[in-house]
Amino acid sequence: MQSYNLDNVKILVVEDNWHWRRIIRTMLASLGARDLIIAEDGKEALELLADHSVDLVICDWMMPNLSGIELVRRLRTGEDSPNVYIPIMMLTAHTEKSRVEEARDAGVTEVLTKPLSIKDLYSHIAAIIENPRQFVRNETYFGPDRRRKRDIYYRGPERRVAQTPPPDRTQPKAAGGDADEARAGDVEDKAAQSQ
Amino acid sequence: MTGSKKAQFIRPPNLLAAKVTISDEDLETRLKRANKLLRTMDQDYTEWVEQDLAALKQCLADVKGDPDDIQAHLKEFYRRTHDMKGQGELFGYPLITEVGESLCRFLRQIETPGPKELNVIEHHVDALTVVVLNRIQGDGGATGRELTLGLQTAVQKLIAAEPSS
Repeated sequence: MQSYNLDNVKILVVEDNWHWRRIIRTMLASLGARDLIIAEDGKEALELLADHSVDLVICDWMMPNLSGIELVRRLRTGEDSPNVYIPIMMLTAHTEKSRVEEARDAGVTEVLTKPLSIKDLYSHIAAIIENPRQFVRNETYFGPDRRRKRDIYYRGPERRVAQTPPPDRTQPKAAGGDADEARAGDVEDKAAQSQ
Repeated sequence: MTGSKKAQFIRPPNLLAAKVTISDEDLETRLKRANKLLRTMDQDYTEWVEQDLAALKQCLADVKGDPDDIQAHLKEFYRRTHDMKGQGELFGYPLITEVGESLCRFLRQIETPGPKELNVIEHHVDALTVVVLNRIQGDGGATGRELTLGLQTAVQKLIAAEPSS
C-alpha cells in the first residue's frame, strides 16, 4: 500500500507531558515529519501559531494554562485565530463517548485515543489528506462537518440549527497565505431543516 | 417540515494534501521501521515510569497532607494518572493502562475524598507499584488478575457502602 511522506508538512505538537512529547515526536519523525514545533500548553501554542504557518495541529486534551479543548475553540472561533480551518487532531486518554462528542463539538478534525499506535496516528493523518471534511457554520457551531456520511433518510434532531448566532470567523486573520487560501475555498449555502 | 434556517457549508482548500508526496516505500515497511524505532524507547520507559510513579505517590501525599488545597492536588494527581494510563500499553504494560483507567474513573466519581475513598485510591497506587517495580508486562497472568479483581472489589465495596439516597 502506498504511503505519504510528511517531509514538507509543518506540524505543531501541543503536549504538556515530556514523555508524550518524546513519543509523538519519535512517531512523527519515523513517518518522515521533520518540521515539528512543540508547545507545552494551549497558550504557548497560540503564541507559536501567531508566528508560524502550520499545516496540522496535534494536541493533548489535559494541559495547564489553556487546555486542548479550549485551544480548539479558540482556533475555530476566536478573534485571534490564525487559521480557523486548520486540521486539528486531539490526542486523549479520555475514551468516554461524551468526551469524544465534546471534542467533536468543539471542532476537532480527528480524535486519537491513547494508547496510541503509529498505525493509528498515520491512518488519521491519511484520513485528513484523503477525505477532508467540509466545514459547517450554523447558529451554534463552526467546524468540520460532524457527519461523516450524509443520510438522506435522517429524521433525528437537527443540531446544526440553534438559538444564538455565532460570530463569522471563517476569514483567517493571519498574515501570509491563509486568508487568500480560505477565500479560494468553495463556499455554498444550503438549507438546513429544523424539526 | 417547519421553516428552514441556513447552514453554510464551506469547502476549504486541502492544504495538507498539497504538501505531502507519495513515498517510494510501502506503508507496511514504513510502519514496521517506525515501530522498531519506538521500541528503542522501551528501556527508557521502564526508567521514567518509576519516576512517574514516585511523582504520583508524592502527589497522593499532598492530597492527604494539604486539605486546604486538596482540589488542586487532586487535579494534579488525576493528570499524572491519566498520563501513565495512556503510556503503559504502548510500552507493553497494559496493566498500567488498566489500573490507571480504573483509578481515573474512580477519581471522576468523587468530589472530596474521605478516608474510604483515599483507601481505594491507595489500593490503585499500590497496584501500580506492584506492576512497575516487578515489571509485569502483558496481562500479568495470575498476579494481574488478582490485582485487577482486588481493585474492582475495593471500588464495589465502597459503592455498596454508600447510602442509597
